[in-house]
Formats: sequence, structure tokens, C-alpha cells
Amino acid sequence: MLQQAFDNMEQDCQQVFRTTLSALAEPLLPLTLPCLPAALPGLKPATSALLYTLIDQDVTLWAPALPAATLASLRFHCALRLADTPEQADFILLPAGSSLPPLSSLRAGSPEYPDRSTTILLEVEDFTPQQVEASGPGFASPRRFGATGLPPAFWTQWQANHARFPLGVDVLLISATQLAGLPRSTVVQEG
Amino acid sequence: METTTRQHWLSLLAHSPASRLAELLQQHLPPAGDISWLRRAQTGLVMLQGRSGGSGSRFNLGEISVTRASCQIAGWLGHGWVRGSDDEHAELIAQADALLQNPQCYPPLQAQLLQPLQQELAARREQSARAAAASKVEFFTMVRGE
Repeated sequence: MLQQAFDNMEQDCQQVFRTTLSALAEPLLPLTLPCLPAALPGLKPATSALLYTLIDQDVTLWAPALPAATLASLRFHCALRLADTPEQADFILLPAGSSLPPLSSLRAGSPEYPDRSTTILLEVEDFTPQQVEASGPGFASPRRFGATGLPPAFWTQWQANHARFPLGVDVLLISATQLAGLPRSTVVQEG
Repeated sequence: METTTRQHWLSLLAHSPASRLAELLQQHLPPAGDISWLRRAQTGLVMLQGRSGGSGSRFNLGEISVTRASCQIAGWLGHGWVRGSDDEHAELIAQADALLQNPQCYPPLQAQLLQPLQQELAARREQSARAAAASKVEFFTMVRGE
């Protein structure tokens, strides 16, 4: 069975896209998505909303094994194309509990086109605990942030990713209903 | 089910008036709660292509508005596409397409929906062919010169 997407595809996608822009403008500040579709099998509702919004026939997605029903629904609603390897993908989807590919192996753009890089959609459990202190563009002052369910050594890998600025990958951290942006410009200090 | 069979009924449904389709389909439709609307009717533009001289190279003739809708009934996925911007017509075709693919629903629908529509379409086509034939003008040219 295919899943129903948003009630009003155009308007809801635009609202989710606007929220995504805000999340990247104010990094690591969790924002609640304005509208949520029914969750795709194996994914959170907010992840489903982002996929419907961001995926179209012009981009490729890589994800560890997803249920066939999820792939069929995404093909129907967004004309999903899958990438063969994480290194080729425009978007990488990591459902909760999946392992993180080495960030340094992913497409980081080129000096001429730093935008030709991969964006990771990373599911986490929740945003409550405070693990790191973050600063950089978009922060009026350093802010504490944390997320449960992150892959091990994520923040260490992130520091290496930030060191490649202006190249590097961007991450969208996703809980059941919330979204926090983590662009490559964000400086993170553990502890 | 053969592709040509489905193409045939989709063409027939799209060429039939929406009001007549609604009338004939009404008694076969499941309760609204059993229909999962994956895509409510939406109207867009499709570029029509022609071939110069009928068989030459392709050229873009112009855009027409097209309305499409998709729904799922009991696991069968139905699509409706119709020229113009009649939302109701596209959604009726999508529902009919989903039902027609279900082997249990096909026989009654074939008898009570497709056959009457087919006869009415044939009658409309014959009528317009007659109207065209009545206005036919035979041109002839006198042999010149000799």
C-alpha cells in the first residue's frame, strides 16, 4: 500500500522548506515542523516530511535498506532516485540506529562549487541533553546543544568536517517532530 | 491484465462526459472512507508535440492543460488523467481505474459502465462523422489544354 503524503502537497512542502531554511540559519536550535504527514514505514514523521519536501527527480538519495513500502511511496510522490553508494548521493538518509559513513569520504563540494556537497538527514531520539557548546555564524552567543541517539564519535567527526570549511557536508538532525540544522560553518566544542 | 485493455478503458473514460460517468459509477463506488487519495486532482500543463507533415521531425505544437488524480482502493492503484481542468472528472476516472483493475469488480463494471459508455461514444463519433460528411464538398478540375 502506498502512503498518503501531505494533505496539501504544495503549501505544506513550502512551509517545511521554510522551516528548514530557518533551521540552517539558526544552527542547532530545534524547530518544530509546521505540518507532518503520516510517517513512512521505518521513518519518523518529521523525516517523512523532509523527504517529501527535499527529494525530487533531479537529486539522488542513499539510505541503508528501507522497507519496500517506503521506497514505493517515495517513488510515487517524489520520483525518488537512489544512489548506489553514499559517496555519489546528494542526500543521505540515516534512520535512527544506522551507522554513519565516514564524513570525510562524502562529497564535500569543490572550491569553485562548495554547494555541490552532500546533505545528511540524520534521525536522533530527542534534543534534550546538553552535550556540546556550539558557536559560529548564526549564533548571537555560544549555545549548548545535545541530542540522544547520535552515532558514536559523531562530534569528533564533525570537528574534522568543520575544519574543511568552506567545503564539507551539512547535517539536518531530526527527532519525531523537530528539526535542527547543522551547517558546515558551525563550530562545536565537546564537554 | 493487458496494458492495451487498461489503455482502452482509460481512453474511454476520459472521452466520456463527467456527468454521465458519475451517474453510472455512483452505485459501484465504495464508501469514501475506503478510498485513499494519494493525489487529489491537480491541473498542470503538458507540451503537445506534432510531426511536420504527419511523419517528419518533431516540433512543439503548444501546451494544453491536463488534470490528474490518483487513488488507492483495496490495494489497487488507479490513475485518472483528463484534458482540461475538470477535477471531478479526473477523480472519477482514478476511482473507476482502481475498481476496474480488481478482478471482482471488473465484470459488473464492464457491463454497467464500459459498455454503455462505449456505445454512447460510438454514437457521438458517428453523429459527428455524419455531420462532417453532410458538409463534404467534391472538388473537380476541368481538364485543361487537351
